[in-house]
Amino acid sequence: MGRSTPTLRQATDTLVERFSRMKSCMRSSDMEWFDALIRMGRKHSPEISEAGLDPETGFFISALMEILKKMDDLTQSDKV
Amino acid sequence: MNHLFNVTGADRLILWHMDHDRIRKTWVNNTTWIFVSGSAYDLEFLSRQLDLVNWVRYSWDAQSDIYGLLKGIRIDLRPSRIKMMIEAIETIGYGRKFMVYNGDINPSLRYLSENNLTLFPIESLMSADLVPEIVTIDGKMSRNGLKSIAMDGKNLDPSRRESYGEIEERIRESSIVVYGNFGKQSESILRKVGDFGSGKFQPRVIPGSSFESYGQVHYNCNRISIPGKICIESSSFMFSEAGLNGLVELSRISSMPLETASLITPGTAVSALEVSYALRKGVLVPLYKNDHEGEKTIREMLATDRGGLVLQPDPGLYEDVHEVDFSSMYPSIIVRHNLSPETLSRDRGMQIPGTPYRVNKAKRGFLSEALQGLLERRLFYKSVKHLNRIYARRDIALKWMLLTSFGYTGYKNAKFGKIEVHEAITATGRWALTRAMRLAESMGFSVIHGIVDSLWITGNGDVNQLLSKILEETSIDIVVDGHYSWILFLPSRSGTGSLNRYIGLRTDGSFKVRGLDARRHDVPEISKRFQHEAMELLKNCATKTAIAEKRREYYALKRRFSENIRSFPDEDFYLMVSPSQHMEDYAVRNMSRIVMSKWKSMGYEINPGEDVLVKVVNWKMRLVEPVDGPGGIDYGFYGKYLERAAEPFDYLMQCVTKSGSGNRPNKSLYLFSE
Repeated sequence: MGRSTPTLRQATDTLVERFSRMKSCMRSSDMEWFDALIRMGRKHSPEISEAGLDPETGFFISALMEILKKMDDLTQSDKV
Repeated sequence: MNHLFNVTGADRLILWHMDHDRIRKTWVNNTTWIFVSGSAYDLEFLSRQLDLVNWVRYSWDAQSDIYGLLKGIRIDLRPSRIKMMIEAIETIGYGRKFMVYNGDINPSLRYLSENNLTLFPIESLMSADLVPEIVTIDGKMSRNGLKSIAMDGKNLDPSRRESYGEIEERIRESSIVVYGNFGKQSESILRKVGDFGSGKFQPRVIPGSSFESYGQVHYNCNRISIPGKICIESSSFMFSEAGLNGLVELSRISSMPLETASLITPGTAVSALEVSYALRKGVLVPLYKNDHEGEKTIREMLATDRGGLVLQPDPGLYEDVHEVDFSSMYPSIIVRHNLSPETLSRDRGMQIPGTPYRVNKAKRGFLSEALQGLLERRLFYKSVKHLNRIYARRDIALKWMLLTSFGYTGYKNAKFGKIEVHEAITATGRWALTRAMRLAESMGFSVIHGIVDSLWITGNGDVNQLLSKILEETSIDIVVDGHYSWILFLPSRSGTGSLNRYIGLRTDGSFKVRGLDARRHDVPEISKRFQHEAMELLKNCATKTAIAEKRREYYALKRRFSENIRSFPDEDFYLMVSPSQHMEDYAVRNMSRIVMSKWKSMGYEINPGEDVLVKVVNWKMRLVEPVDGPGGIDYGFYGKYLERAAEPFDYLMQCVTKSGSGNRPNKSLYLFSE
């Protein structure tokens, strides 16, 4: 019934699973940063899905947007 | 009042009436017809073949399906001969030359629809149901057989022969038998009634089966049929969801007899409603759908083959939040945007956002027309459901039908379904939610979360003004479903916001909970008890400060549960296990496999989807027993359930104790934490 193609969230899960293999040879101190990046990459799944982008491109656009937001937050707090 | 409440049979139909508390049955000879279309040459050939059969009467005719007028042959015959006739036509036409219509319709439904009759008729939507006498039979089984019997809520002694005589008498007086048979108790009771009594009510047992629906495996237990009675199994989906009033409503609007209505899924009920509507309007119903998916590029398919819009919430605690909900969103889209297989094309009408499809609004669509009555009826009962339990139950039945009416448009065998309609509905739904988001943002709100037809917003705007604006732009009714003092969106294991796990305190003091143990059926009662007590503790805490002040009490509650876990009654540790596959198919020795294996050793076979109540005696040794079996409770095992039950509330406490963190106290989860 209904749809037959995987959702973008499902496609991103597969992508993240592939990326996560990196963790096996990663320093423990880096793992936290890696996890944070993954969270940022997932953040904009609905919008990426709406645009019909491929999951990989979508993942990096999402992560970059979140990094920009955080940079802006830091700049604002510096001004204060 | 002569009140029709059941129709059974095929060639000779029996109409069951209630006439001043008396049940009358009348017999009707039933003849019916099928319609065959095809090319003039092929139809001519078919008619010559039909001339050779002396019991067939046919005529040349022109009738309409949802797309327009068709010329063909109408063949009049008895319902019992339809199947044989269709097989012959398919053989003559090599299975591809003819289209057969009205060939597989339930005889009762067809008779009712063509004669414009209704089961359980009511004078107005507010009228009560007139239902014949009902007897309820249930009981409990032990390993040695019947342990107890309950008839109409009264306990009877299973060892006394008179008990079965009493049951037989009540069955004789009643037209409807509601029975519980998940442990095969009613089978056992009714067999004894048949053996010890007059033998008139000897039950026929139809074996149960497992089935999958929306990714979940369910089990239909053995069904019982008693001659001359309407038998309803109490765990059947619609009866357990909406009770007898809901089932009666389903029967009334789908024209399906009550017993059949109790056995079918809401999707089949929607299909029956559509077929009934078609018959009442004189529209042909195809035997096999010929509405294949149109050609599309892979890019088009990826762009259109999508579901509803689900946003990604930031986990955390939010204050003063409104939840706004589109009422029956997808059915409303079908009705208000005129979506139907015959109104949708690529070249005519209004463009549907995000799809290559257009909808022709000049002509009323069949699906949109057929569902309009159902939608209006549901919106009516939704508005009055607080007045009476009957209306609330009718509302539940109609809600389920409307929910499945959308999914049914994408089902390959749906008589009036088409995948493009399904895609157009979800696309319009995504457009409507996005419009609602934009309007909310432009009117002073910020959007926290959104799931298909609901939005959670916070801000200082005027909510009522927002709702009017959304209705004006989308033509879909929208209401405030809840005003929360606070709502907590929980993090998922990956650290992002979980889409459907949240807990919110409404301004009226009630909680709305989704995805927590308190609502799950596969956790022990102790987990639920803990979460309910935690909510009870917080029910008057409308602000973050108030929650923070309860911190000590909350941790005391947590300690009380973990330290005194042994003092709780055994029932609080019973676990409901529902295996989703056969024992041999489990690759690992998990709980389901262990339980199935244990039961097998006791001589019972558990079917996929069947629920079993167990207790864990020693998890390290993988020792699981029936709840009345030997052994104690593995408190260490259940302690982990308690820890998991506390996680959402621990997170809540963490949110309220972080200083200056605004609406997102969990910023530490993000890369640049303050």
